[in-house]
Amino acid sequence: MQTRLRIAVAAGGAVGSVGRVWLDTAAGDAAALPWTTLAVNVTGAFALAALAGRLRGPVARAALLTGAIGAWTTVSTLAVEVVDLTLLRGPLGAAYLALTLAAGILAAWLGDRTAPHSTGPSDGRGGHGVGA
Amino acid sequence: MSPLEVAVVAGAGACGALVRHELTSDRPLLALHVVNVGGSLLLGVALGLDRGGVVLAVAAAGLFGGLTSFSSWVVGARAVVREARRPATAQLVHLALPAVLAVLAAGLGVAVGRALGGVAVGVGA
Repeated sequence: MQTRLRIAVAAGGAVGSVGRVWLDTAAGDAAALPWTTLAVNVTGAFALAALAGRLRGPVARAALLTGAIGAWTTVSTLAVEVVDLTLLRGPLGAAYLALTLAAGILAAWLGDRTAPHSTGPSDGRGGHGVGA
Repeated sequence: MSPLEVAVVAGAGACGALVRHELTSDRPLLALHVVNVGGSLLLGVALGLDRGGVVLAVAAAGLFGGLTSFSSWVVGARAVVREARRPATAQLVHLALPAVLAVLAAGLGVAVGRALGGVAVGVGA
């Protein structure tokens, strides 16, 4: 079972990462703010909260929640972009970080509201209980 | 994206997600904070090196982007804050502090990467 979960996480991670990098490449970097990263993080937070209570099978949860949605969103790129923005535009970096966090929390709340009931990530663990 | 870049990102993203799963599954949210801060540091180093061209850059974005996870962080933190006896403290520990640490780690990583890149250029010259 653990092997199937690992394969599912890896497959989902591949899809999520390619989707994120493809979107970032297609959008380009002409905007004042890194809207692409903001968009993937906010949509991912919404999707994770919305789907966590709906998906039942551990393999599906591993592939979609931990793998695809987990890799669709990113903290490392967000952090590097905040550093770049801070160096180039001063307070805009902190504003971008605060906007991302606020929008992400709001999206997670909205996603949770659409879910039939709140389970999964509400255990407060990073792996969404897929290994359980 | 070229087919090579897609393949590199897919492989890197799969590895990143798998490592995150192994390190955070069935562990407290703190483990995810460590992974997110560590991934930010490593991406900063990779981008600070500024070597290897586009393929290395997208590989780093795939690997460390797949390793770190904003959605797991926010949704997990929200659940912890909701159930905490001291929500304000939980917000500080699980939202504000990890965010600041990730940014500081990324900044440190970029500085280290640039320093290492500069040393390498000096040695090769």
